[in-house]
Parts: sequence; structure tokens; C-alpha cells
Amino acid sequence: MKKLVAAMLVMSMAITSLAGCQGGSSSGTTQTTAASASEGTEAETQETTAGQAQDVGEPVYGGTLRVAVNGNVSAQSLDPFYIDSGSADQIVQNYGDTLILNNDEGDAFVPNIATDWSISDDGLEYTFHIRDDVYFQPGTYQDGRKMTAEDVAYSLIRSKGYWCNYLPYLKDVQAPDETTVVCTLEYPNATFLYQLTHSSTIMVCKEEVEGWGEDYGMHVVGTGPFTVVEHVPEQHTKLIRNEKYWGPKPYLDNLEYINIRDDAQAVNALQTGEIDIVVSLSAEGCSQIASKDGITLCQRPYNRVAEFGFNMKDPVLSDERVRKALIMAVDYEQLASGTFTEGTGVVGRLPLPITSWGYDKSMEDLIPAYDPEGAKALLAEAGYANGLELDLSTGGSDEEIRSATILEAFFSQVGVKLNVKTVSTAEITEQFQNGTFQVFRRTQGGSADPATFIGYFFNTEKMGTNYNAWGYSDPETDALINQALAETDQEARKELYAQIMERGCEQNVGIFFASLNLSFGVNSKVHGYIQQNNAVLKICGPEETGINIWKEP
Amino acid sequence: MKETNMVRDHDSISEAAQAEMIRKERRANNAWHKFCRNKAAVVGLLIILVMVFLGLFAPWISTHDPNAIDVLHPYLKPMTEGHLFGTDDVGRDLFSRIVYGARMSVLVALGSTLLGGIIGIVLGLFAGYLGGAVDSIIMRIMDGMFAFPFILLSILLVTILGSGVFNVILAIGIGNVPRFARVVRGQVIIAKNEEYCNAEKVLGASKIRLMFSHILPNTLSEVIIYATLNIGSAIISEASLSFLGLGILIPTASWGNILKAGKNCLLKAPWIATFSGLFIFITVIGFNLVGDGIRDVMDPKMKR
Repeated sequence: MKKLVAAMLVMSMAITSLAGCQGGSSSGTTQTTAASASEGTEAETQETTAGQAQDVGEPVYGGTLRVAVNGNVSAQSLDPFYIDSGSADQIVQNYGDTLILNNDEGDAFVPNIATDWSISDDGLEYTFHIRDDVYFQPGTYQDGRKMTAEDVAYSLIRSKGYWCNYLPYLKDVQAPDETTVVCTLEYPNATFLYQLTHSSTIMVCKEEVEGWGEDYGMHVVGTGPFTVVEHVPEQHTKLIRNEKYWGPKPYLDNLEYINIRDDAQAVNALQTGEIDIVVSLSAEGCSQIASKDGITLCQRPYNRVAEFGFNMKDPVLSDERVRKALIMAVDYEQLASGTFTEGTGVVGRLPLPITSWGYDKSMEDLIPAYDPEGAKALLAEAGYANGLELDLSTGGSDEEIRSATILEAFFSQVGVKLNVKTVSTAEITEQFQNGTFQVFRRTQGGSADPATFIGYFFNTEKMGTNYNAWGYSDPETDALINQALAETDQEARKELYAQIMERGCEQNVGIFFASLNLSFGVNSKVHGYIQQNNAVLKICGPEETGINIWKEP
Repeated sequence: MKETNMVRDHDSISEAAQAEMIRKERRANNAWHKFCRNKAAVVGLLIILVMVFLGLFAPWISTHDPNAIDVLHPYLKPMTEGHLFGTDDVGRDLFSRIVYGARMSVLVALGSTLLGGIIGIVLGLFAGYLGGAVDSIIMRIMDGMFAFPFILLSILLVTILGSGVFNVILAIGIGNVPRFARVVRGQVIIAKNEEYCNAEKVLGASKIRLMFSHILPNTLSEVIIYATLNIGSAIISEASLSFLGLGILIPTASWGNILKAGKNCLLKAPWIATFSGLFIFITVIGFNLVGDGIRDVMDPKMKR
């Protein structure tokens, strides 16, 4: 009997693998599909926006949407105070509400809890008017009471303690009446509104937070379209429709986030229909689903850059000539296209995503051009005519390993031996804090505002963090950064960021080689979603956003 | 006259026949010939020789630089554009990488077995011969190491030591120590009470001399069998560690590294994982067949 079962298993495995080969052999055409998808991203977004009006039929109520996420969602992650991964972001943004939201492109704001807002002339006082029909989801310590301006003040002040501390300049939050909130800043900061869209600033209920204490992360309560009913750390989170949501009634009954770490496994689950959406696909995943019926591959550029950074405090790399030579040794085009295949990224040269309003193609000349011979000469001049050995700290994903492999090949052409060391996120964070690395590889996300990229990259205050791991410090650049933050006119700010860029790039702190594309794999039965620039998949939002996902039965 | 002649003839024939028989018997008992009669073992030996040959002469056999990337031509199919086995995700020639991978795999497997063997033999000798407290201490430590699954122990060691060829050899080698120690200890305990040991003791031989010159050679047959079989599993250990990203540092070619790179493009480029997996499989089989063959030769009970 056992033998029979085994034989059947082997046969079925053989059949599946044969079927797999077929998919593989047809992958020659995948490339073009993916390429056209990335070229036509705008059209794609529009199509999905208008998706409801097209021939997919009328939206229907009901159903469960299952979303695969691949990062840490620990026992505390759902508490906005501890949120630490993009996966947690996905969940938090759907059970909770921020004051305002980013638009799809990430370059303007739309109302959410706040209906309108005004900024004082000196840029120090922000006044928000908030809705008066927002109720908390019922919990253990309150029974779905109304949310007031006091709660907004409490939530924002609490978020100041968030580990990344995005709001160090937030001096005070006052609630003069039930529907008005006034935020006072220590000094003007043009990124304040953007920070208010971050998951760490969602509205929380004081009674619940204080009642649960350290366990709050397992019993979160918000004001969003869905209510968390079950949270199993690192495994799944189940949510149900919040009937008292102030916005449009969500079409979906249930929402589930399932943690699937392995990309191939997530893609398989997508194909079998076990899950409906994968929100972060690697190049391999993209190629696998690009040609599949019933699954849509959605790609769009978003605000994330891929970089190799140098430690300016390292004895070898402190020599500016060495850093410049290393940049000259690399062909950015090849590095980007070899790393980000299947439309998962495009080449960029500046420390900004190409989607940022600060990205100016004419400034690409600031980056030393590809010139291996020149690099060799420069290294020889710096005293490394006989070669040089460097350590690279990188994560272990396929994409990271691929880019490291390509970089190693380029470096070896100019006599630099690169030792690739795979390290965990915790290790690399420690290396950043102590400055004990030579070269690192990571990707960095932000908004369309250059303040969230070069405003951090070249900021002395951010030294020792992932933003300014290279250790760039220049008082004049700092002054320019502060000036750019205080300025409210965008054209003037653009001009200031161009100056910061010029000063920063002069130091050749790293190789910023690509701007990433966001890749979603979505079951074709799912409609009404919008792939937003911030990578968070909103399931249902206020009328202005037009987002309310529904699923064909 | 006739009779005597006949007798003589008979004698001479039987002498010649006897000599012939003795020669035959000798040849039959000759380890090498015994081994050669085992067809499977010969195949195994051939496999090993081919792999060692590939490893030793990798620079001459490989068609490309194993680390030369060509990002414009990734995932080329086998037998296209001069790439015998195709190319991998960054356009490196797979055949050349597998040839260089053979060098790495054989080096790590032999190195770790040798390291684990030497330490294990010495520990096993002392534990088995001295007995008592020394035995207890050594073997309890070995039992402790046994408590960890082998691969977990190696992962632990690599995490502490860091990646790299030498550290991988060290980690797998240390992981091998308890097995060798146990095998040797068992043999020593049997051998130390044999007549020749007592005789040697009576003649006044020192303990060290007794252990290394008399007992050790008598345990070696077991150790050699065990070591040969162990090389196969060491190859798998190296591949496993590299597959987990803890083994040989990229971009150095090793079968585990290639397999890892092939894992995520199984559907797109199945040949990457297939070729590397096949080479691991064949080589391990080779060592196992040879190990079995040696056991047949060494074990008197297996006489046919």
C-alpha cells in the first residue's frame, strides 16, 4: 500500500515538474511582457483605477481577500509604536487611519481623518480640521466611542516615541475644540505632512493602549475600514469589515494577511488561488506569473533606490580617490539591468529615485562616468597599484546576491577584491551604528520629496543610521538642508536640493545604481485596487481615493 | 621406469598446479583484485577520479572564466553560444563554474574528513586505551556534540567562525570528530586486550608506543571505510551550507552556491539547479560505492 502511494506521489511529482518545464520553456516571451508592463505603468495604473467602470461588472459585497506579505509581523508589530516592517505597514494602514494620505503618485496629500489643514506663514503651526463622525472599533476598554481631537493629539504625541523618531521637531499638539488640532513645530520642516502619512502616526485609543500596556500589539484598535480579530505573530492576521467605518462601506467581508517568506511559495499560492495578492514580488516571481492566465502582474516605479554605500571613516575608503575610483569601475547600466530583471527596477545614477521631483537628469554628470582604466590609474595614485581588498555587507536575497556578484566582477577588473559577506538585518544595523563595515548594500525608501533621500543621506543628524551610514558630515550642507526644509515654495526647494546634491555627490559616498519598481501579483478576480507609490495596498479608503477592493465571487 | 616417470610427472604437475593455485589465491586475496571484482566499486572509483581530474585541471578544462559575468546574456540554454551547460542569472558559464565547483567540493570534503579524522582518531585512541575518567570526559563531550544534528552543528560553527573555505572545512571537520572518535574507541577497546598488546606491554613498551604503533594500525581498516563514506556526506554538508548562504563565499563557484542560485529560477532555467544537483548526486554516489567496495575488501567476514 505504501509503495503504491509512493509510486503515485512520484508520478504526480513528475507530472507537475513536466508542467513546470513547459512554463519555463515559454519564458522567452515573458521578458517582453514584463518590459511592456514596466513601460506602460502609467496606463496600467489608470486602467486599474478605472477598473470598476469597465466590463468587469458591478462591484459585489462579500468575500475574503487574502494578501501574502513576506516580512516580520511580530507580536508588537501592529502597534504603531513598534511597527518595523513593510508587511506590518500593510496591515496597520488598513485597520487604522492617519490624519492625511498620500496621493497615488506620492507628491500631494488627500484628506483622511483631517478634512482640511492650513499652515502658518512661518511654517511652525499646522492646523487640522478633523471629521466628527469617526468612531473607534469596539475593544475591551471602550465600547466604540467617538474619536475626538484629544485622541489625535494623544496619538501624535505618542508616535514621537516611535523608534525611528520621524517627528523630533514636533513640539506640541493641542486640541482647542472637538474638531480642531493644532501642531506646533520646534523649527519648520517641509516633510511634516509626509510624516503624518506614516503608519506610526495612526489614531490610537488611549484607554486601549494604557489598558493593555505591553500587550497592546496583540489587541490593536483603530478607526479604519477593517477590525483586527486575530493576530498570530509571524503567521497570519485576520480582519473583518468595520461596520461603523466613517468612509464608504468596504465591499469585502474579511481580510487576511498571510506571512509567506519564500517568494516561490507565495507565487505558487497565488497560482492555486490560496491567496489573491502578493505585494512584493522578486524578479523570479515576476517571470513566473507574467505569462499566467488569471493573474495580473502590476508594476510601477516607486520611491526606492538601490545603493552600495562606502564607509567614509574606514582607513582605506576615507581616501576620496579610492571612492571615486570604485564608482568609475562600475557600469551602472549593467549593474542595474543585471540585478533588476523582469521590470523590477531601472537604472538611476543619483541618490534619488527617478520618480522624485528632485531628480534632474542633467545632474547625472555629477557622478563619475564608467572608466575602468581611469579607475585603475586613480587607485594607483592612491597607493593601491597592487590591488586592494574590501568587505561587502549585504543581505542574502537573490537580488542582493546578484548585485553583489556583478559588483564583485566590476571591482575585480580594476584589481579590487570584494569579499561578499551575507549578514542579517540586525547585524547590519549594528554595523551602521558602530561604523564597522566597509561597503554595504541596501535599498532605501522614502517619498517623492528629496528631503526623505538626500535630505537624510547628507545630514549629520542621521549619522550612524541607515540613512547616513557613510558618515557624511558638512556644516554647510546641514545648513542647506535645514533651509530647504523651512522653505515652502517647491521651486525654491528644488533649487536648494540641487545644491545639496552637488555638495553631497562630490564626496562619492556610494553607488546609487537603480530606482526600483513595485511589483504586485494579483488574481484577476480582484478589482478596484490602486498600486500606490508608497507600496501599501489600501483595501478601502475615503471617497477621494476611490479605493474599495472587491472580488468576483 | 615408466611408473616412476609418471609419478614424477604427476608430482611436477601438482607442484606447478599448486604454485598456480597459490598465485591465484594470492591474487584473489589481494585487496586490489578483490576490489576490482566489485563492479559497482570500480564505477565509483572512476567517478571519483573524473571529479578529482576536473578539480585539479579546472583551469584547463573550463571553457570560460567561472566568475566572468555577462549581464546581457543571462539564462542561456545549454549548448548555446558556446556555453556547454548554458549560463546562470548573471551570464556566467555554468560548465566552467561546475568544473571549478568540483575543485571546491572535493577540497572541502577531503579537508574536513582529514581534519575530523585526525582529531577523532586521537581522541578515540586516548578514550579507548586509557579508559576511566579520560574516557568518560572525552566521550561525554562527544555525546554532547552528537546531540546536535550534524547540519545544525555546522551552521552553528560557521555562524561563529564566519564563512569562507577554511572555516567551512573547520566546521564540517569538527562536526565529524565525534563519529570518528566513537568508531576508533570501539576498535581500540577490542584491540587493547589482544594477546599482542599484552605481549608488547610485558616487553615494556610505553603507552604511546603501544597506542600509535600497535593499536592504531589495527583500527585503520574501520577508519578508512568510515572516512570514505564520510567524504560523500561532507560534500553534501558543504553543498547544504553553501545553499543556505553560509558556506563558500560568493562569487567562488561551489556546487551548493550554484544550486542555491538555481533554486529560484527552477521554472525559468531548470538546467542551473539540475546540473549542479546532478554533480553532487553522482559524486556522493561515487564515494559511497567506493566506501562499500573497501568495506567488502577489508571485512574478513565478507569473504566469498
